[in-house]
Amino acid sequence: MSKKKIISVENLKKYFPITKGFIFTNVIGNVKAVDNISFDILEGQTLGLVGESGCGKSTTANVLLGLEPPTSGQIKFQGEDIAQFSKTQLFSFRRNIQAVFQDPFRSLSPRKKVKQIISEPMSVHRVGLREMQYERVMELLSLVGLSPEHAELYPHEFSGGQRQRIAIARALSLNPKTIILDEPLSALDVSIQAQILNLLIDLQKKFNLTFLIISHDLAVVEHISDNIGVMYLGILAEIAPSDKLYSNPKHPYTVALLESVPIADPDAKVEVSLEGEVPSPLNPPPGCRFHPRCPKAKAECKKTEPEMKEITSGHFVSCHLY
Amino acid sequence: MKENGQDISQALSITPPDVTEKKLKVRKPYLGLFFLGVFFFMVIFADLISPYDPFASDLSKGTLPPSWQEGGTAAHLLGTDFLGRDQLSRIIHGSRMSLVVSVGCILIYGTIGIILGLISGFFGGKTDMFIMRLSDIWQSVPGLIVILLLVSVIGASAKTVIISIGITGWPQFARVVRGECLSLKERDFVRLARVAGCSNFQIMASHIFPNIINTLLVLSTIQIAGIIVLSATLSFLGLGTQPPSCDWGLMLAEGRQYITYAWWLVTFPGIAIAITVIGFNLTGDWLREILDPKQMLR
Ligand SMILES: Nc1ncnc2c1ncn2[C@@H]1O[C@H](COP(=O)(O)OP(=O)(O)O)[C@@H](O)[C@H]1O
Ligand code: SF4
Ligand SMILES: [Mg+2]
Repeated sequence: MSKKKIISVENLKKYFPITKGFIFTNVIGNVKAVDNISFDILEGQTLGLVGESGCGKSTTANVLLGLEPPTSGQIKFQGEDIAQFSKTQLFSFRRNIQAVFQDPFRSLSPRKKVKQIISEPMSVHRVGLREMQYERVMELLSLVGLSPEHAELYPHEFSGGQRQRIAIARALSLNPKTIILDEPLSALDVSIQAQILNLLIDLQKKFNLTFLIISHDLAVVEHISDNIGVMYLGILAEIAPSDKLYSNPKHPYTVALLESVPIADPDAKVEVSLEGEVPSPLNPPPGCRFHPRCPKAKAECKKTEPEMKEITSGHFVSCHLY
Repeated sequence: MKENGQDISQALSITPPDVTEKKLKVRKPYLGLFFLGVFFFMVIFADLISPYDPFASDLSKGTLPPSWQEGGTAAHLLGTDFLGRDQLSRIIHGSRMSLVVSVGCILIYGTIGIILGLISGFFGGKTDMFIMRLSDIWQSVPGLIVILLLVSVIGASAKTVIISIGITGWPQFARVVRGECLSLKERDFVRLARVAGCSNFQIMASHIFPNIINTLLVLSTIQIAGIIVLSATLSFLGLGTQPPSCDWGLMLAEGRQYITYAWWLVTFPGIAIAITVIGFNLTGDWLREILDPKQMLR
């Protein structure tokens, strides 16, 4: 492969212990939010991560961003294990990986002006003098389609779409290599979603950005993603180049998800084949986690957990059917 | 949150649904603001508006009733005390003592409470538990004992009142700040500050603290009312400000002996205390309504 791996995740697990007791706490269980997932993201490419709410997408993002320590597994950034980083290395590593979150009403400090919000990463990392930072703010505002006078306003004076543009400008301010986008469109009106998506695609081309984009909706990530990973209850059910995943989905869960994607009318969400409750990650079903809801489940599925298999180049599935 | 192992549903609600904006009927603040206006007018212009020097005594004019009562003179609107000092002037100057004492207390325990509350809420875990138990213990020690102890060590004075209320009052501040900090630190903008590389201190100082100022303002305003009553009580008991200071609580104490024939000596300082306390309370309630922190955090 010609492009180099920028992020590679190996056997990542993130468990949240449930504790009981006050002074003498004991662990009574683990929420297995992310349970042994591996994937690579190549430079300049986009990996889409999809799955129902609660399947561990945001947890994966938080671990990659260093907001939560992993329970086990490795995260490599340009080949280097970030767990081995010293404090100063970790600090400069943060310049390379920024984030945009779902709700732009919550992701901007309510008491700061737009120029402070956008320039904060630069001041924290002591990039440039104040005037240069200000110039950069102006440049970023125009990059994301806002105008210079917006710099002096407070977040509450903007609409959702504009706020998401501000959040994107901030994420870009340090010239990061990678941006993690956790449901960046979910809180926006449908008409605005397309604008923001196009903006992201433009910016990616311009700056050779690497994206990890998370969504509970397959349709959203289809256009932007080079590869798509489908998560179910903390595991990766299937990961493949997007055209393969859409034209030839292998995992029964992916098939079900694709069937439930509304084609033209976004309001007419008909869940065709995804019946039953999502089981709790506190107590995932034994064997294949999807078996209680899987239309193709076999006896084996209840007993042994399937392993990830590469069925064609770049197309991985974890299912006993293959 | 997770370290404490609290209710899991709480741990899961990292992004709770927006609080629906209810159009609350905000009460009119006029009465409270008017009372506070009177109070601050007295504080600021005490020297200009007092008809007499509040300390000047004239024994020949001792214990004069208010001007409208038989035996009163127009020269002393609210009468005089047993030393012949003008009551109105003493009440006007007494407002300053109330303000100094209450602001002094708030500054001391606000500082302690804010720092401990921020640390407790932000770092959570064992640190949080330690600080919260400490504040439980602190709250269970009766404040009066601390005050008596300090009075016996450094003597009764306004300073003693400020220090003793100051070091006993912080737990409530700490609790409120901790609560706000707990919910703020899970906010997306705080998490993004961490992604940007902010240190713990930077996050607390520049992302959490600015968002609790409103709450602190409301809390302080309401607490000032309580402190004014408390410090008046201490002065009344002889544990606070000492004669000949102008202090409303002290005036009550001095007037108490003459209560059977000089009603005005306890009534007017009492009214002054009541008006000020009601003023701060009403204003505090009003501020709470208009500065609803949930609105601010959207
Ligand atoms: N801090 C936490 N403590 C305990 N459980 C958590 C925590 N964060 C997330 N979880 C649980 O981990 C699972 C995955 O959550 P999340 O990654 O937010 O899912 P998604 O983003 O895919 O909707 C959920 O079951 C959630 O309840
Ligand atoms: S392993 Fe079995 S239960 Fe799981 S998805 Fe495949 S067929 Fe369904
Ligand atoms: Mg999520």
